[in-house]
Amino acid sequence: MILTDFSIDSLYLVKKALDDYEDQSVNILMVHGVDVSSYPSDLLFFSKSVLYSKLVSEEFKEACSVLRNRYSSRINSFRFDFFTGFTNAAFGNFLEGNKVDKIYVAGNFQSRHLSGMSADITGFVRKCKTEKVEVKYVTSEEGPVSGQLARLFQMNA
Amino acid sequence: MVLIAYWLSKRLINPIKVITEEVNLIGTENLHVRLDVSDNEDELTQLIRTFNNMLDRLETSFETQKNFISNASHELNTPLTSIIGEADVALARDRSAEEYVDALQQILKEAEKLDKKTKALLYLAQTGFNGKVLVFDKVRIDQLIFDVHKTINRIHPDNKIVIDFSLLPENPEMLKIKGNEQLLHLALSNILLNSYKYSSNQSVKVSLGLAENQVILVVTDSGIGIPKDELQYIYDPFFRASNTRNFEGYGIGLPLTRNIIKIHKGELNVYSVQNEGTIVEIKLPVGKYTL
Repeated sequence: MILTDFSIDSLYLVKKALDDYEDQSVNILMVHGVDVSSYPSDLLFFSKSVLYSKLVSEEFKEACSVLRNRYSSRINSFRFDFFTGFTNAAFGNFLEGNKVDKIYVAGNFQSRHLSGMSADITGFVRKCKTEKVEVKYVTSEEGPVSGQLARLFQMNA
Repeated sequence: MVLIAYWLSKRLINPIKVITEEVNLIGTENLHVRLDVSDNEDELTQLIRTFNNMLDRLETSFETQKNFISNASHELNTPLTSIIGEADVALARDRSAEEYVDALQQILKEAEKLDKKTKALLYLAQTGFNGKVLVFDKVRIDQLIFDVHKTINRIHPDNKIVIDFSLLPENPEMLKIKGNEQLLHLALSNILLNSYKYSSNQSVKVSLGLAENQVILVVTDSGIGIPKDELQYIYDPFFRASNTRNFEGYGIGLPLTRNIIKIHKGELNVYSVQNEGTIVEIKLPVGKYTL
């Protein structure tokens, strides 16, 4: 499982995970924390697919495709999901339900709060019992190609 | 009843009549005229807006053509003036054999420049044409990159171009696109030669990857870059950025490359930071060849 803020830089974690599991096939789950409000009226209109189309840029999808094609034989599945719970227990259930073996988190992860609803779930990650891997990477928010597909080719595994 | 019908029809027809009159005034001499647009959101206003937008595009296109023609004649004129001047001076009085040889060499140099420029211009004009019949066939982009690298090795054996295939798809058969190999070769050479030229021989990286239905080619250099406010002009024929004074060039490579990419229904994007480097991103649709 990989915590993502849907930035192309965060795909560095995917690369790292794939390099770590060189001779096995992996199921990749990209997770973004979401703070769903407790007002029934908001809950009524909350939809994961709408949120997905709002937060995920075309460039990000293309970058994921490039990675999928590069490691096609080793990637069993490549999914996205939102974690909407707010307790450690809920997170534990989420991990169990998705059969997560390992969580990749950026050591210096500062989620670009993409929408008013994005939540920082690194706290849950730290407290859970699943094996974690912390990866340090350098984000360059101001580089000329930040947010563009070309950024994927700048990151070195 | 009749009155209402009459009033209604006048209300609808009148604005259309006004538009017809205004449009009749627009010709090639005054393409800058635009129709008056009110603040409503009704269909007629939208039509007027669309029409005005079309006029914007037409005017830009006409201006570009006019510019191109005047730029082209200026560009061709300069070496011609040199040649005429050199010949005139040489013939003005008796000179030594050496002086004649010198003069002739100068004339030859300028003539060759002229030759290159006219060829480049012709190419530019040809690729801008929609009606030209080109042969489109399967082109493997990874092979293309190798070929272009070979070409550049011949011209500039000291180049530091590095090919990065780290993100190549596991199935490189999918890197086939439907295109014209000569044109694509030309387009890519242009980009790489630019990177080489404006990098003062620092390394240039060419990366290749495959997205959903597009081949992605990225050329990265750490050269002089392009000033931010000049980025919008880089595709104008003959445009040369303000920081290129120490480098030779005619400003034809990039517009030509963009035309070629457009013919292949692809996308060309340039990102740059002055004095840090330039990144050129080329996207080309994958050919629908069954594997």
